[in-house]
Amino acid sequence: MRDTIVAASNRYYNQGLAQAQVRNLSGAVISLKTSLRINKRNIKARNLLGLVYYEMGEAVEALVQWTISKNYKKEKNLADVFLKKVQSNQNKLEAYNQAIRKYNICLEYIIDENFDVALIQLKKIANGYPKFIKAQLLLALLYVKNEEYSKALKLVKKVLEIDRGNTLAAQYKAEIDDYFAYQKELKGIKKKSKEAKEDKPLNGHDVIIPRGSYKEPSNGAMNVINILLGVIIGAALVWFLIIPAKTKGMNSNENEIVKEYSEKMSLLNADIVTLTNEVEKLETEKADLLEIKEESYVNLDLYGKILNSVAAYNRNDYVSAAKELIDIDVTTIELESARNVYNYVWGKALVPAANELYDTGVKQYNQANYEEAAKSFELARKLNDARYESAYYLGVTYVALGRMNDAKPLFEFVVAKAPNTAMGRDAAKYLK
Amino acid sequence: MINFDEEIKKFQPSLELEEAEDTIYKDDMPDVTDIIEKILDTVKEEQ
Repeated sequence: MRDTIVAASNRYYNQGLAQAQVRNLSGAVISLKTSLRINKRNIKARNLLGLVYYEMGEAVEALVQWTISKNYKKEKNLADVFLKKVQSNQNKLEAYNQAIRKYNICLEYIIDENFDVALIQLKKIANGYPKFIKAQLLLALLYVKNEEYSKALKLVKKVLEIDRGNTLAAQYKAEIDDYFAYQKELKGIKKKSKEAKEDKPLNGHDVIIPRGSYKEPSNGAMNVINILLGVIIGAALVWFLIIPAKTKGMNSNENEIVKEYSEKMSLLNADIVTLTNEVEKLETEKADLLEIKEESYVNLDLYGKILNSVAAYNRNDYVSAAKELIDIDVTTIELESARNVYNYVWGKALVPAANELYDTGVKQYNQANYEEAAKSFELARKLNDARYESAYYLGVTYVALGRMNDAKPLFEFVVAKAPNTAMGRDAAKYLK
Repeated sequence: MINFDEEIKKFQPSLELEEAEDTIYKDDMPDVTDIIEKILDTVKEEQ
């Protein structure tokens, strides 16, 4: 049994290691903590957790993990090396501690709505400790509040370089990107309406020239020739001067648009390449993990359920403990110690779980939530089919759901088991 | 868009050096191994 527990803990350690290697530090923390919940003596998991915390700027959390690791294993422990490195520079350690303390104070300032003071302090912390992720994100949040989105985006991108799995940073980046996209769209619409021609009204500086009274002598033929000449000269002017300039302008505009889209396409292509590489990497990791899982699939899945039931039983969650064990065929459990654990938990959790499910079912029935009530009573009966009250209530729930055929055998059971009770008499009425 | 009041709730204080000792001493939460050993001991006593 111990070997199984150690194997389960190591699986989570391996997962955490893989995540840390690709800088998914948030994911690594979750995996490594799970590994330690299963086996707190997993030295490798604890040391790695300390390292990940250190990289995220949580120096004290890192020290705690390495110290605990040393308590479990005093000799030949990597934690020794880490602790010596950190503690050898007391000034730096104290500086880290000060930064953490100031961050905590800033959090209080923000809760008290002293945003300006918090902003000043956080800027100092963020500049001095670029890997202190919490401080970077809190400062980003303040920038968003002040609508300084560019500054916020810069910080969030920095965080994602350190911790690629940081969901908060990813969420903020997505929202800020959406904001910028929306702003760009608005800008485009405004520009178009600005380009429309406007009539310039007269202002005080305009000079009005009165029309002169001089008139040219009129001569019909000459007039026609003059007009024709004017048209030809005008057309030539338009052709040689105005059209090229306009075309150049249009081309220049088009070039700008094309350039902008080319740049966008390049960025998108770069993103696609990066994402494709990520997917390939993840596929490989998944294949490796599946391989490990398949080799030990049968045993670990079964023992995993037993372990989960133990954890649930320990926190007095009898229903969850029972649910983990309910589908296990005890004859398939090879290890005697595991069978003992199964029998112990099953024996202790069975009746309390059935009673709890019965109570839940009654509440749901009274709230007319018949579908859920049916599920609760069905599970209660699966755990303890001796209790006639569960059978009665399941019967009346089926009646409410229109499932008369399913209700009938339950009422027959109640009548047989408890004929002289109120439920027994009621069940008899349903059977008539 | 980002709701400041909702987001600020996600930020928790970080551990300071002065709290480290306490945290180390309090780290005696049973893991699954401890619980199973306890159960096995109980089973042995009952047998």
